[in-house]
Amino acid sequence: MGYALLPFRFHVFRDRELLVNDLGDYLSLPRGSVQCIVDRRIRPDEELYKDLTASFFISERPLPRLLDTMAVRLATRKAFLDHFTALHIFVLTLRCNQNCVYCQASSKESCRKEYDMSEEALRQAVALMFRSPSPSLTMEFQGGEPTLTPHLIRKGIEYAEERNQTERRRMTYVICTNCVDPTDEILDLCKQYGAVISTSLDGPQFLHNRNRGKTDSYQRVVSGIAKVREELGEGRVSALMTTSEYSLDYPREIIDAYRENGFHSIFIRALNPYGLAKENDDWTAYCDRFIAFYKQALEYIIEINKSGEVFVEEFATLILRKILTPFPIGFVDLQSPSGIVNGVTVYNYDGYVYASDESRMLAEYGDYTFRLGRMDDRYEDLFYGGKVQEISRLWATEYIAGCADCAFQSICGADPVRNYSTQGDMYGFRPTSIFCRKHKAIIECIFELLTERREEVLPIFKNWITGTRG
Amino acid sequence: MTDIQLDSQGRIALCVDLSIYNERIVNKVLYWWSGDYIITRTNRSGTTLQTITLTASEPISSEKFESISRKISADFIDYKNRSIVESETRDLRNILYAKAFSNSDDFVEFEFDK
Repeated sequence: MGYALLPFRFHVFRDRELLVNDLGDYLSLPRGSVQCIVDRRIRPDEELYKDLTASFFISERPLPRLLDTMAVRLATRKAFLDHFTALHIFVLTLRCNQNCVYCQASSKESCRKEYDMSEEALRQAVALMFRSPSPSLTMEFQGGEPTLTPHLIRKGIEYAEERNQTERRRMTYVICTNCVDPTDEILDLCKQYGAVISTSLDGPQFLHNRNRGKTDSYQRVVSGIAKVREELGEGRVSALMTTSEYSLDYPREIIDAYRENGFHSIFIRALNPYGLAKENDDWTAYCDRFIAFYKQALEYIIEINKSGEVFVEEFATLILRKILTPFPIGFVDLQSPSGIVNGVTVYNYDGYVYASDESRMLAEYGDYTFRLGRMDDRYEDLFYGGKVQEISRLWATEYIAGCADCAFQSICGADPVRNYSTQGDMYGFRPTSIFCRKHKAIIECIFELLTERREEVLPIFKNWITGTRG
Repeated sequence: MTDIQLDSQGRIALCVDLSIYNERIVNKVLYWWSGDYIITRTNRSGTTLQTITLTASEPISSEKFESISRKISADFIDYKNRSIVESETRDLRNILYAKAFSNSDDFVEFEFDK
C-alpha cells in the first residue's frame, strides 16, 4: 500500500468528481479518479499525487505529519460554536402596517396591541441574552413591524446598554423594518446607539407593490430608505428581498431595482414555508423554479461585475467564504451543528423563548415544538434543557442520513425546524427535502463556476469575500 | 449489482450480491431512490443475493429504465468507494475530531445542579 486515505467525500456532476474534505479543501477531477485513488493507482511521480497530498486527501503516512494542522483547521471551521448564541431576535410585536402576500410572520392588524411584548418580558429577555457567553451580541428587533413599538425598542436598547456597563460585550443593534415610515424617533434612536436598519425591497415598483398588496408601498419604502441614508449615512441601511412566485420571472429587473436604489449587493432569498407562505401549492415546483431563477440572477450579477461595477450576491458570498476561506460564517442555514440555538434564539412577544425565527412562526399556527420555555425560566433550563437536547440529537450534517455522505456536508447546514415544518419530523428525509434540493443545486453551481470558469469568476468572488464594495 | 431488468409490469428488478455490496452500501444507494420509488427487498435463501424491486406510481418506460439503470450501477460503485474511504479513515477522523475539539480549558461553568 503506497499511501493512506484521509477522510473525504465526493460528488459526481458533469462527468467529473468533486472531492471535498472536512477541512474545506476541494479538487475537481475526471470521473473515475476516486476509484483510482481508492485502488492505490496514483503514483508518487504524478501531479495528482502531489495535489492529493497537499490538499489532505491522501497521506504518505498512516498518521499524517500535519495532523495538528488539520485539527486546527477543522476547529477553526467550527469556531462559531465557541461563543454560542450571538444573534438574539426580539419579536416586539406581531402588529404590522403592510399586508404582504407571502408574510412568513403571521402579522396582525396595527391596532391589535395584545400582540405587543410586555416590558417585563423584554427586561427578562435582555437578561437572558447576557447569559450567552458570546463576546459579541446582536440584538435584532423584529415583528410584525417593530417600529410600531418605538418605546419597546428604546427600552430594550436601554436595558442592554445599562447591563453592558459591566458586561462589556460588543453590541450591535438592528431594527428590521418595512421602512414605509421611518420616524424621527426611530432615527434618533439609531443615531444615539449606532443601530442599523434592515429593510425589505422585493424589486421594481410593480413587483414590490404586488407582493405587499399595496399600491404605494414601493414609493414609501424607497423614500424611507432615502430618509434613513440622509439621516444616518449610506451604509446604515441594508435591504433583503424575498422571491415570491411572481418574482421568479424577473431576476434582472430585481437586480436592476437594487442598483437603481443605490445598493451594491443583494441577498437572493427563497420563500420559507412558514406563515402565509406555507399555503403555497407545490414547494418542489417552486424550489426548481427558484434554482433556475437564482442561476440566472447570479449569471447576470457576474456580467455586471465583469463590466467593472462591484455588485455582490450575498448568499453566494456566504458559500464562497466557506469554500475559499478557513473561517466559519454566522449564517444560520449553513451551519452544522445547526444555527438554531447555537447561533440564534428568539424572544417572542408572547413571553416565550424559541429556538429560531422559524420556530416562533410555527407557534403562530399552534405548533409549539420549538418553544424552549418562558423568559422567566433559568438560562440553563432553556438552552441546555431537555428540548434542546432532543433537537441536538439530529442537528448536525455529520451524522444524519443523506448528509453524512454528502460532499457538501461542511458547506451546508442542518435545519431540524425546516425538516419538521416541511416533512413532519425533525430528522427529515433528504431525497424529498426542498432545503437539500435548493442548497445542493446552488453549491454545485458555485463549484461549477469555480472549477470550469475559474479565471473569469475568481477575481470577482475574491472581491466579494474580502468585502470590497463599489 | 449482478443484474438489473425492467419487468413486464414496468418495475425495475435488480439483484445485488451482498458479498460484493454489503447491506450498508445497499441501504445508502436505495435511500436516494426511495423518494421516487416504493422499494421492496428480499434475500434469496441459501445465497448472498438480494432481489430489489423499484416501483413507481406509473410503469417505468424502457427509455427511463436505461438512464435509471446506468445511474443505479454508478451509485453502487460510488457508494462502495465511499464506504471504503469511510472505513479506512474512521479512526483517523475520530482522532482528528478529538484533537480539534478537546480543549476544555475555557469552558463556561453552568449551574446544572441547582
